[in-house]
Amino acid sequence: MSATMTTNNEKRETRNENLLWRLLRSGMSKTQLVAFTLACLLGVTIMMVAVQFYHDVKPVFGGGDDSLGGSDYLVINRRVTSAGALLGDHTGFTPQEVDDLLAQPWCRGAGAFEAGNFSITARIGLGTGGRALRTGLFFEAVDERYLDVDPTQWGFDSIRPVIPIIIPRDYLSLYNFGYASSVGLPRVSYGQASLLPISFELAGNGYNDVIEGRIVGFSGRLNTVVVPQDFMRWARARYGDGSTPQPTRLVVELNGAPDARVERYMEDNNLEVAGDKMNGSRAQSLMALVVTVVVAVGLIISILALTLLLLSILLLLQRNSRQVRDVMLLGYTPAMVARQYGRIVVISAVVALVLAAAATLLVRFLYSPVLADVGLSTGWSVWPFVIGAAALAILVAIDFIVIRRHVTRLLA
Amino acid sequence: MTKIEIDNVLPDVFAGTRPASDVWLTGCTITRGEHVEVAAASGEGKSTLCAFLYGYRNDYSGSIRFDGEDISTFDIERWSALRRRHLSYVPQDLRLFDKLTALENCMIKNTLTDHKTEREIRDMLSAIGLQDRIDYPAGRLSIGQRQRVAIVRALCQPMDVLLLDEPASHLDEASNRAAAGMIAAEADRQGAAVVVMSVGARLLIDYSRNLQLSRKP
Repeated sequence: MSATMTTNNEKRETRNENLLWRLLRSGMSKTQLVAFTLACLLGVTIMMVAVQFYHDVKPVFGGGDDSLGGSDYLVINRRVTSAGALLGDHTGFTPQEVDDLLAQPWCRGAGAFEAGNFSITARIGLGTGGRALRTGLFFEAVDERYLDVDPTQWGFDSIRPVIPIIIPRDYLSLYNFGYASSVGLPRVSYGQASLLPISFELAGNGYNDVIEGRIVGFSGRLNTVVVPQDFMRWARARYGDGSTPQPTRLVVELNGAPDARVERYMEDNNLEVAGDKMNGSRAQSLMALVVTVVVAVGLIISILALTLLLLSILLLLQRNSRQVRDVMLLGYTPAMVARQYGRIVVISAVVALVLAAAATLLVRFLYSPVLADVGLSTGWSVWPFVIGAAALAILVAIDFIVIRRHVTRLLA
Repeated sequence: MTKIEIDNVLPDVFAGTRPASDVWLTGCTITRGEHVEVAAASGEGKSTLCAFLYGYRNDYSGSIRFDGEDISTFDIERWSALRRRHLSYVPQDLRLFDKLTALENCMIKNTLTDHKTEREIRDMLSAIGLQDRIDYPAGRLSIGQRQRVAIVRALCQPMDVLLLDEPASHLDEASNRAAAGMIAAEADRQGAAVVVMSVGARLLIDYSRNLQLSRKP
């Protein structure tokens, strides 16, 4: 019984809407409506394709998932000049210099590399036959929060000493593709490298010990041999000369991707950034700028399309002002009338959004083989749709408010 | 709403004059259930009074109160609610929608108020002599037929006051009696006041009071 009543009410409301709509749509041009929707579609598609493209090519510029709104890291040191090298300029960072760095708006944090002040010799066994590499080495320690690997056995126990180390990924590549291939030694995978027998001979302050070591991770961020801080403190106390050397390198955590301010600071303070991070970031910044411009163009086209649609609706409203006034004198509220016209904007925007999403998928499908050729295979991103939908939602809301105000003014 | 008070009201267009009137520049109250005729010659402000009471003009001095509340403070939402539940109106120019049929012109009001069934509206239109014109576009009806459609439409809602501005100006006597009977029956059923503006042809219902908008000296 109640279900029947609900259905009847729904039918009545639908018929009511239809009657109202029949009155208020009088004089509407379908051609104009289609044209405005197509213009809106063009604008939203440009926006969405640009955002999708940016998402797809971002890895080329070194932007990982953590560079979009997250943090990025730089390893910095003083630039060594010829004169400075001869004259023995200080290469360390004073506490004041570190404080100055931390005070920069783009700097979220900084960690000092603590260097060892004792002698280290590493011996790395290379499989059967007793072949081994023997080399002088250095260790540095840094706060654990700056590590980009999550080693399981990070720490040092002086009673049963084993030194866990993290080495740069480049070192393994250098060995595999440089040294090993030239002298006929077998290549080593990441997994195998962790199993290589390594020992370190530590000497200084009258002590000379051989301690077992283990590679526990490979870092893409830190270009040094990293050991735990508690080992470094123990080793300095045992083998060191009692001095506390100033840190010569810092790992800096940024608030976002490195930008021109970071570059200027490095220049002004005669600092050097390890690797090509700044170049990659510069290219990424340029890419972001280009994408921003393209998104802005798409947004402007969408704004123009919806503004023209709004003007067309206001004209329609003016043309039907007599009907609008009369239905409001029957008891219809401005919101009820505005909803009829607002529906046109919503339908136009939703059609544009859905078609734009389809067009974005199509465009991406067309350019994805090119990306695959250069080794890029990122997944779909929801951001183009979110950004397109958010932009349209804001524009539609503004249109709604303007239409409602206009309707209310008609009766005033 | 139980009463309308018209207190010392004068339209701005009459500013500076002191018309002898039962309504302008005096105190006048209309209460639920009474049938009031407001008679006047053309141009003395009948439609203007309706526009003030129905809330789409406010160019007057003095005050009009619904149950003690000054209507000049009402916003558009309040007026919309009043027009759906308390105040009904047949304007002099009828304000029908030419593209809609006689039935649809009534339905567009009734679907807002849900006061009658479609069957009842059809019966009302038939009872008032429009049985052959129910599905005709209003634009193709004669002025007398349009007047009757506007009257039926005004009855498609709950009301405390029904305002009619020259509702019988184009009705023959039979149509006038049919319309008057229907209006009186619906108003009495709801206990509503009926306020009829008359110039010339009168709506043939029993009036409890007669007000002169302008007395001849």
